[in-house]
Amino acid sequence: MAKKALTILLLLLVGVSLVFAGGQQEKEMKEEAGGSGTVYDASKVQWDPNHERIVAKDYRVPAGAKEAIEAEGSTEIVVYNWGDLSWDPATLLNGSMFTRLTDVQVQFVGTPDEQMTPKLQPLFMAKSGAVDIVPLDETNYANYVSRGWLEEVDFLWDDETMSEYHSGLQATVLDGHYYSVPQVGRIIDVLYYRPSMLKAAGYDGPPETWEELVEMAQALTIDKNNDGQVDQWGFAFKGGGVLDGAQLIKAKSLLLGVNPDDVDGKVKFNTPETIRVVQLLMDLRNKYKVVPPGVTAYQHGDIADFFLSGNVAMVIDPTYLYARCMESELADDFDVAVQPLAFKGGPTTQIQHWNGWGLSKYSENKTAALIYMDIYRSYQGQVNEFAIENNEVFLKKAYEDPKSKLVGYNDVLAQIDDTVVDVYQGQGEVYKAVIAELQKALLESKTAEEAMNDAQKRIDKILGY
Amino acid sequence: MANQSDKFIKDSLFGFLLVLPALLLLFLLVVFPVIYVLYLSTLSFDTTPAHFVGLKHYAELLTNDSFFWIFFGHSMQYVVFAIGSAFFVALLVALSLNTINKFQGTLRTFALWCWAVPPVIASLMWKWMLNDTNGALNDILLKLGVIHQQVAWLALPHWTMIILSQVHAWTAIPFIMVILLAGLQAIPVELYEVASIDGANGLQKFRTITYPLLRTSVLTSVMLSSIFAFRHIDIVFTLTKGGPGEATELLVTYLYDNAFNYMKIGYSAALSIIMVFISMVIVFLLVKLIRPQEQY
Repeated sequence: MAKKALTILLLLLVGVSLVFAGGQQEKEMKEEAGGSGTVYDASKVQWDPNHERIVAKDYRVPAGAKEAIEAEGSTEIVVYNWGDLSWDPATLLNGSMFTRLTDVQVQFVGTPDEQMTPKLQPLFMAKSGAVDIVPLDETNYANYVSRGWLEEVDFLWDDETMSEYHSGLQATVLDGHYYSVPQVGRIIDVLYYRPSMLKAAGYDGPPETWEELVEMAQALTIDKNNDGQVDQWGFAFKGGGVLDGAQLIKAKSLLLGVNPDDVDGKVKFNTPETIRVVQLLMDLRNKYKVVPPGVTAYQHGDIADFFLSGNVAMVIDPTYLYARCMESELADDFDVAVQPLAFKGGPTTQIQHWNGWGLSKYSENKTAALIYMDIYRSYQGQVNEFAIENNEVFLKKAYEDPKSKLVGYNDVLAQIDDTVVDVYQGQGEVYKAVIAELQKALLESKTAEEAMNDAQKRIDKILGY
Repeated sequence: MANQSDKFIKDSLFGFLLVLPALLLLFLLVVFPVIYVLYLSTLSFDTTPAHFVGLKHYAELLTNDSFFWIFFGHSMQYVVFAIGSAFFVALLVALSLNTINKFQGTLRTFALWCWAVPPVIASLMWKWMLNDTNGALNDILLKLGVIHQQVAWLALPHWTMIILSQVHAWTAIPFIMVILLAGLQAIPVELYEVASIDGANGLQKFRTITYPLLRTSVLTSVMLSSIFAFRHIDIVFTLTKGGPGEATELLVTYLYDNAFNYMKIGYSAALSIIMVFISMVIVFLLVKLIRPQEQY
């Protein structure tokens, strides 16, 4: 009995091993043929000159690309997307353009933000070819590059091509190499306000400085029926989230002339300017009481929903809220403006959030995927993003297109020409620490200085200073 | 004799072959992932490719990571508050349903409905109910005069954990109730009749008959619910993301951040193994505490 059981077990082990070995052999064969995990041979396609192709009004596939796509046997690429595609008509349109030009289908996989890395990480660790194009932002980009999961794409860039994009895109060059193309420049913070509410309080226009913001927010925080409950708040901000709270501090610090993500080459959130910003946020919540107490928990999307609910007069939120407002009951009673400066004539630098596309190192359709990326960063692709979805883009010429000029807040964007993008490894962990300490300050369990000093201690440990 | 032995072996072999596909599936879906996580926990992904570091992550977690112990405490608070309150409510509901004869089926269905709501949907629902400006809870309590100011339920550093644990309790009550109800229905009615003849009141009957005979069900329901609560991420992740000021950060959310936001794959693998051991300790303690007595 024991002998027979042992024999069977042994046979089983052999069988399983054979299966795995067979799979491994197949993988190695694919690698020999230039498949997953190998460095891409860019010489198969005539990428140079990139510049002409990117700025042309009609995109043309570079010479050799179709042949390379055919040689790789590509019929479909898999593109992971932040969120459901119903919110991204420009992405679908760019995908259609890609298919028309290459005869390669696109399978979009819409994934909630929080699930993106949990889904992609196992694929990368398994060296799977199940994903070709990877959506990137500040939270995952540097990490993916450091793990060797993204293909280097230096051949897609040169100085002349880079000069066509906002200078902030330079931040996406890591260790002297390119690993991505821009999807959207995305989402500069602007001030949304309700003209009717401001008019009722005696104001003709939005605040232009922090001092005006505080004054107006106090006048706009109203208990309409005298029952002791605030029915209309003057202002609201995001004190929570994964990035939001930290980027709120950064955005305001920039208006004081300091970028906490780059203070003489280091991340430093306890500068006098940053502490002043935290104190302002604390005062808005606790001293002037012009924001709901629950702002410490407000995350990505909460501010937008709050503004759309009609209970707040002013918010500062990314430009994606514009399209939502236009489709809501507030369509005729909202406007946008540049966010208030720290003081009149003060610095005007803004955060430009970055979303990009990267190519998986283990993709088995690299040429096709690179063409998709190339189309997306080109004139047509970027105009589609701005004109259709109202997402800002990095390609400067895209704003000159007649379709782009129809976007309602184009004139506001024209006033914002000084932006920064920061991407570095450990950024997610740094921001988490900053948000935690910000919340403690907002709840008055620490002073602004204590909170930011404690945040800095954690940052120093995270980044190994 | 030899023929019987051969037959036995053949039958056993046949049985083994029949369960072999299930065993393979179990190996692939349960055993292999555990072994793989153990393997990952001995690697550091700070370099590419990853390199072997042995038990370094475990040592780091247990001796050099203050957040581990703080969030361990939070997790224990969450489990105790959530399952403690869920158990008492579930017991009351089960006792009630056990005695009610009219509309039994309908009432039992109502008692289970919140179990049918997916956890993330339930979390989103509670997020809006607990909203400080537009939430239904504030509105109801203000109208009833229970509170006089809107409360930011998710921004109270000392109370938010209790609030989140009660949200979890809301999701856990049906599960515990079902198990307790099944246990109650297995108790012979004659025992209560005899107790009535002897003059026992309701509390005495509960103490001497119901609870001793229910201990197995209590242990099962509390043990399983506690383990589920210990590893439950949906509610905290959706409502507070560990805030305000890390007051509701749990070991499971800490694990999530390390694995997917900070890409410390080896570190988070080690944390997950430690969490398994903690779960085993929880089970051990509960068995000691609620060990069923001898049956009548």
